Amino acid sequence: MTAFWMVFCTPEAFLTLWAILLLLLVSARENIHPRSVATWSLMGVVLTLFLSKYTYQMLHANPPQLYLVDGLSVFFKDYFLITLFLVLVMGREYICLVESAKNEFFILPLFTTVGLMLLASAADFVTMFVALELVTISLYILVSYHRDSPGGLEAGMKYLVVGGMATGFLVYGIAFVFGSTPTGTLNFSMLKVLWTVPEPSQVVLFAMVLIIAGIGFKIAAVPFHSWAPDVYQGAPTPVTALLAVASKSAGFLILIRLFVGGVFATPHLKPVASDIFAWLAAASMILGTLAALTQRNMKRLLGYSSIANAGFILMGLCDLNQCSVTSVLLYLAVYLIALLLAFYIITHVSVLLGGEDLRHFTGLSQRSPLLAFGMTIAMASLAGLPPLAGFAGKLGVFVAAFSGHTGTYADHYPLIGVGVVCAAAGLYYYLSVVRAMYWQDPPETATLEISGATCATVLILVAALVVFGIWQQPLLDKISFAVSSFHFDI
Amino acid sequence: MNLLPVLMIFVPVLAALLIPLGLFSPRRVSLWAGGINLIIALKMYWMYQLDVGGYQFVTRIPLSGVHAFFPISLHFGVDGISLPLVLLTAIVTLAAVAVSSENIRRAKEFYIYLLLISAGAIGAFTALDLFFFYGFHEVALIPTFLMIGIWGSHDRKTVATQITLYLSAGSLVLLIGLLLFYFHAPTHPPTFDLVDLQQQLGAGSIPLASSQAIFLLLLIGFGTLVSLWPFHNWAAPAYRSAPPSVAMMHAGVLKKFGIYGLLRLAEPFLPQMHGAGSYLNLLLILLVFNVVWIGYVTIAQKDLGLMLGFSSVMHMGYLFLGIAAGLSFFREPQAIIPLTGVVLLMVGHGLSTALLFALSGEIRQRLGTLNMTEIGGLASKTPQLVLLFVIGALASIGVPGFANFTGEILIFFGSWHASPCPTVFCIFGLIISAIYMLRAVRNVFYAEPSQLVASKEIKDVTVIWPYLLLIVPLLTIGFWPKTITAMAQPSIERLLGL
Repeated sequence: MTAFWMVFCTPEAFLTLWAILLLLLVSARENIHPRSVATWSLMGVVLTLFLSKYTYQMLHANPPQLYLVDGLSVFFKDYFLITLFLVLVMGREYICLVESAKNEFFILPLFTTVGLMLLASAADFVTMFVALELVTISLYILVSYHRDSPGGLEAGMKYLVVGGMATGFLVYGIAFVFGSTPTGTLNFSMLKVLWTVPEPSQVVLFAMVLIIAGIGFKIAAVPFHSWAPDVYQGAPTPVTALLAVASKSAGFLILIRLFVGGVFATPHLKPVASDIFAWLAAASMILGTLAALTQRNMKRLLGYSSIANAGFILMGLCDLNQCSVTSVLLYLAVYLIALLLAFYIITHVSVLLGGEDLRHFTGLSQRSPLLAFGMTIAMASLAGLPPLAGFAGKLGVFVAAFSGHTGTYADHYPLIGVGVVCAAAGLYYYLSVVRAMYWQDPPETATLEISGATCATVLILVAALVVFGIWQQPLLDKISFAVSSFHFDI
Repeated sequence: MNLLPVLMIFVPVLAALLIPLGLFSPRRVSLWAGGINLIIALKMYWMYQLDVGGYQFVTRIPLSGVHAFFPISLHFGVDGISLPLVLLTAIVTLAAVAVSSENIRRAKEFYIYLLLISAGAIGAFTALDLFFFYGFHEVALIPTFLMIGIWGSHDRKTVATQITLYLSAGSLVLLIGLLLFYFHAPTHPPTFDLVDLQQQLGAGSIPLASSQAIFLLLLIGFGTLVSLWPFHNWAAPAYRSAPPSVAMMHAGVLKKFGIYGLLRLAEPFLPQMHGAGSYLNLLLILLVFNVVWIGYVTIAQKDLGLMLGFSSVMHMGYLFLGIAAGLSFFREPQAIIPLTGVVLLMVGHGLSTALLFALSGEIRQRLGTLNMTEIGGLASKTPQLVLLFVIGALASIGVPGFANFTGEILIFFGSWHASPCPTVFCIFGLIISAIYMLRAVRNVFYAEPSQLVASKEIKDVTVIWPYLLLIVPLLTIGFWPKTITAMAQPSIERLLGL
């Protein structure tokens, strides 16, 4: 099969075509209801999920030039598609509740996901950059989707400016990478060969730091975090969910690709990167946790919590070995479930009760036991309490940080100490929601009407959190496949 | 494979799932669950083969491969150390449900949480895998926090936040200690499994330096959960605020998890240095503060609830004394006596504390306050309540004939040679506890009837069986300690590799 036809076998191409067709359909027919658009988008996601299963073998053998298919890319493609699926489900109910969104609201996330999937397969700095821009630009539109609300506009503006800056750092770094090689290549495999012997120059170190800064914005690590709380608060809740999960996991995907066995994994650069990650981790955990303690708006609180979580994941990553990748993937997987559950409930509460401040959650347990229960489980999982999946995630990053002790670069005991203190302090703000819902009496006692589909979604997500809390092996099987058939040797 | 321990975890969970359906009254469902569990626990007690010893009723379902990221398995079973604690949990659970009212506010939630605490406690005591050992304890803690926050009295929200943060922070320190233990234990492959650890680790297989560090973390972690001085601040206010059944479950059962953990992990695996500056000495100093300092604090209390709370903190000092004695005779035959005493005292203290908290709940329900300056002379109106309370008080003081006495005396015998000076302080503590307990009994029951008491129509306790449920084993073990020592002692010998 020629490369030209191969392109059409990729799940990205399929999803792009689906999205374009939907766009054409929507523009051709005026009176189409957003809900049916959402349904069509969901169908596209499911089909892509199947397609990516079947084309794996076919594409796998292909030597990577711009596009590579390995275990890691498969894992992340599934991950992004599942995220998109849940976000669309959330958005579909959001529409029923507010009736303000237009049809593109369900098509733009498809493009975001195409970008994310392409990113998972990027074998070259150019592909990586283009994919990341596709993600970011579609998110610019989605974040400021509520054009008439000042909060939405502020969020959009901040995300645009900060996102532009991140892009700047990234491009600058990539330019230095290009300049450091005699022949001027940007392909990961070739760069890895070039940089192994002899040791790369200081220019590469500089490029590496710039790229870390650029990715730092994506994962919202301190000191590149300032956009997160405002954007989280201002964006429509389903978009916040997409942004929170997708942006963060995309950033970590790139970090794993580049730093674990990848181009920057030379003996000279790896210890430096490991140290930088450790410092970023400590700063993110401390600042995210401290700032979250006083928040009263749930989305803002989750914004700061996402900064702290970036710190925890970086703590797991900072040894840059196989164990770190396992822990990061596990953490991201369980983080996805808990975070989407939380945002799902926030969507309902904000629409039914007129806001997403902590005070809107007071006495929720008496008005809607199911929503309160779901929120409690989500918060407990984010806080890392057993027997929920979040505990396995937290345990994983601590295990990874500990096992680095027997390995190579740095002794992470101080970092682990910071992690423990922050995890304990984190309980306070996650608990504040539970406290409001259970320990306080509601301003009024009328029960909230919730549809059967909502109940089912909440219960499924709760069940997933409980099951993966006790039995992580299904997740770990997927992860170990991702790690074992990783394109680079670790 | 024998599923009885797993069944004991499932019965309360199933009952908790049954309650929201609303087919039966929540209290009735909980009573049935508690009753069934007590029968299962007694059956296990009966069926436990003393001549075989070791872990019995074992279920093991591996959840991961050999060289997995988390080498965990669903591994449950009991030995002579955990079986008495499981029986204690079953007894206290049934009593706690029985003393709770039928028409409490938000009754469904109340009984669901109570059952979850019970399931978590049984899980923690029967788990033979460190992952689930830790996890089940947290499962029991979370409903505890919620219950104090929802049904507590006094400044319930502050108190509930305080206990949540204290115990969660303690649990995290414990988690790090357990992880350090996991990474430093030279087992192949690395394992969370207690039975494998016990088979593979010999004396000194964890180097002294790391053993010290692990012990310090475990001491702080478990110590916070058990209210070791100076990590005890959460305890007394929480027990005063908590609904009686929650105080019974936590002070009576759940708190023993910390001592149980030290017994399981520190005693066989973590050798300690002796002499000045060692962590063993630190423990001895802290536990003397637990007994003497908290003893005096207890004397000063004016509120019966706070007094019982502090008294429960104080008595943890004796358990720590037994643990310290066991550690100073690390894996030597002399460690058997104090550690057997620890098992006995855990059960005895659990029963007597649960009894006292239940009765103080009865008093509060009748008078609306537990302030000892306002209540007095109850004896003339509620003779049965007085009798029960005096029994509880005597047991708590450590009068011969009750389980507490046998436990304490074994601990003192054992620790005398290891650390005479702290032992003397602790024996002195018995006098302190006699002072505050008897003073409380005098004030509350035998003084001149106060205005509050005299002006009210006060009913005596009518349902006696929950209290008898607690008293009968207290006396049985007190007069015939072999009911527990016969199975605890061989298990401790095996644990220590003797």
